[in-house]
Amino acid sequence: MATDPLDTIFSALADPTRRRILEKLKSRDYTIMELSALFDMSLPAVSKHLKILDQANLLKKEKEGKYTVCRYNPKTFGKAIKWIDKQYQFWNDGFDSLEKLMDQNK
Amino acid sequence: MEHDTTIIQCKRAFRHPRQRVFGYFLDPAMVKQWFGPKEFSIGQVILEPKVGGHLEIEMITPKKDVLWVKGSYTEIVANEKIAYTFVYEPDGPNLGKTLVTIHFRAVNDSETEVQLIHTIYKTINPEGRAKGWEAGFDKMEILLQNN
Repeated sequence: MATDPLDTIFSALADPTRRRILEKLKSRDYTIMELSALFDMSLPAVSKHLKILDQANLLKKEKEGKYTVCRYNPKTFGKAIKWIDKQYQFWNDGFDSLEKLMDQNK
Repeated sequence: MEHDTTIIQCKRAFRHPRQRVFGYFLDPAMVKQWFGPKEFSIGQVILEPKVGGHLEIEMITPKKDVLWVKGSYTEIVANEKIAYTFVYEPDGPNLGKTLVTIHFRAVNDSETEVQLIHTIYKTINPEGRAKGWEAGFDKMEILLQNN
């Protein structure tokens, strides 16, 4: 079973090219050849990015005939968003309480 | 590959002078009263506000589970900036160490803008500061940014 720890997801998403690749994959599946042309990158270069996204479980690579097709995995991305949301709430709640506390102690 | 990635930015203007706001982040008695999610209560608060000093905050969840935030201060500039490492114990999310950086900016004598940046980082350089990073999560930040 593939694991998708958050640090792997966030590291994968930290790169702007990889975020752009994911953006593209959200609309439809792409082959590695298509992505290489689309991003004007060599096959090895685009493959390197795809490997990192694959390891983070953000996409799935599937063989279809002689092509490898990349498919976006929304479940993993959702997990990252959920964590961010929760952590954001953590700080936002703290700031709300801090504001009240400071106003009371005025 | 080593990355530092901003995951959250939280900005808030407080209608209080900068020195006063800054103090509320380093005084354990105050931190105990404001830190953490609304539904949590705070137990022990240990703060050693100096570079290398520890920070330990005990949080009690609504289900009475105990969760700690632990870390150490990496930078303190009086009235301007506080940075510390941040991990959840015992069973925090699998993120490795994270870094919290808080900037204090005086809007005027009676108003202070606080910007909190929570970053995932892989390495710390010898000065104890997180390495620089670029990009981040543009879209998510816009989505989550507190106006």
